[in-house]
Amino acid sequence: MKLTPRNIIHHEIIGLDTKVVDSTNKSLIGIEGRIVDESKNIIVVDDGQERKIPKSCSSFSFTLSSINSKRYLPLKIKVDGRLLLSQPENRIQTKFKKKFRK
Amino acid sequence: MRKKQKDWAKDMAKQRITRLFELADSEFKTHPGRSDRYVRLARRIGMRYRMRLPPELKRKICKHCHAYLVQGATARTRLRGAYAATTCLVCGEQMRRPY
Repeated sequence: MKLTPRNIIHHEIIGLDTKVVDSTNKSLIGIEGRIVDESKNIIVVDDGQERKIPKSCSSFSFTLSSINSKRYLPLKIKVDGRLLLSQPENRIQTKFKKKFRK
Repeated sequence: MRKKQKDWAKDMAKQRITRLFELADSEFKTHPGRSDRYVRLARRIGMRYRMRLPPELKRKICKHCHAYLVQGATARTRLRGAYAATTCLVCGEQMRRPY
């Protein structure tokens, strides 16, 4: 089972390209780069310098490099940061909360 | 945990471990600190879901300080009769492996 939009919140997000599309802190919106580290509350994005972005108040748009043959799967997927809010090793079995769905 | 769910979680854990080691390999030249961090994350995932590290990946980390080992840069391997001794150049400890 590969990385798909369906299982992205359970999969490894380090190494993916991302863009901050929404945040309560407006100066973080628009930061674009590769994720280099992850902790319980923070995603570290490398766009020339290492930027720490809190998960709890931001939304991320992930760019998936490889995609299956099914055409309807989007290449870019927007994920609410609150869905990723746990330690990386605990995230495999987090439940998908519908209230964060957009 | 149901069997099906358990298998799914273990499969996911395995994929994430291999992915982290790929990243550690590619990042080593520019940011060696990040590779050690990725090794640490991979080990944590393994412990949480009781997945053993695959034998070929186990050889790439130091048994004592869990540093990411690259031959020539952070590791040195010498054959000594019945075993191969790998020295971690970060902590200086040795690992022995029969061959």
